[in-house]
Amino acid sequence: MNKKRDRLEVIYDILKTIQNNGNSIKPTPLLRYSNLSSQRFTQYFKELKENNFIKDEKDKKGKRYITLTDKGFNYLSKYKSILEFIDEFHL
Amino acid sequence: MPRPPFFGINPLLEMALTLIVIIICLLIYFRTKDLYELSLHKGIKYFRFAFLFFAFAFALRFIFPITMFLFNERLFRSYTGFLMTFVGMMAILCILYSLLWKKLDSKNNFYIIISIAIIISFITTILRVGFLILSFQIILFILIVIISYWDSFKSRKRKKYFKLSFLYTLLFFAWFFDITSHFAFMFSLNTKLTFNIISICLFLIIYYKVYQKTKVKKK
Repeated sequence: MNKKRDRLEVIYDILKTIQNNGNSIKPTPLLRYSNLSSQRFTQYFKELKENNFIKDEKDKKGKRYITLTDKGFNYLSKYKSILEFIDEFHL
Repeated sequence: MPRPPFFGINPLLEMALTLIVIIICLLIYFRTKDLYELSLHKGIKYFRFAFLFFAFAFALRFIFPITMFLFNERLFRSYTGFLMTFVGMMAILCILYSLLWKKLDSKNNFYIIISIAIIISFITTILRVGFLILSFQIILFILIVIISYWDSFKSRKRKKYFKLSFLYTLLFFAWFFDITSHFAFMFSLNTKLTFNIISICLFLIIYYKVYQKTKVKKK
């Protein structure tokens, strides 16, 4: 049985999904890939947007798509360091 | 008659040693800024705060003897004493909370920590008993050591966490002797100098660990 993902892991999974989709994905497939309930996904989505990890944009046809910001890419590249730091100091 | 500032060891040497500890603590604080801003992890937040407050505590210890010498007014000395106790308590409480936040998570915990530090600082300043400050800080540091050892024994990475617990134990002793020598003036000059150097080494070990985990990895 899989253990429950913690907050940092969920954020990593969401951002990684966006990156793996060529840094552009619609909200509905992102919800599906994130493996979260709709309510939890909305909370994470709001948090990521407020903290400037992702951008919620519209294309010429008016359809919404999500992209990563520089901070989002930075999170993905430093995710391992964050986990190692937390582990090192038992935080 | 107040004693002259940095009485005991060579004043310049003592100032230099204190300054080194302040710089190391600030380096730890700023080195972890990026990791905290990305993760918003509460453990990292309180770990950083602890070293920021340690930097303030040592900075005040740097300034306190000078202000005591220059302004020998009772009220002014009380304010500085209160501030010194407060930042020292905040540093220790933040380390404690960085280990406990998963068990005691609540939105108001930072205010609770500040309130505890203010109450203890207020009581010790009113009663003017240095021994009380020492007792509170020793109790909290013993708690930190016990919790870190307890977590080490329960963890699968026992050996790794045991090293961290040992480091906290040494930090406790360094802090204990440092603060004792500050209040009691009972140690010889060489002993005091040794404690200062041990403190620097311990903070340097922690900084080295932080540096190792935060340095940019080349791909």
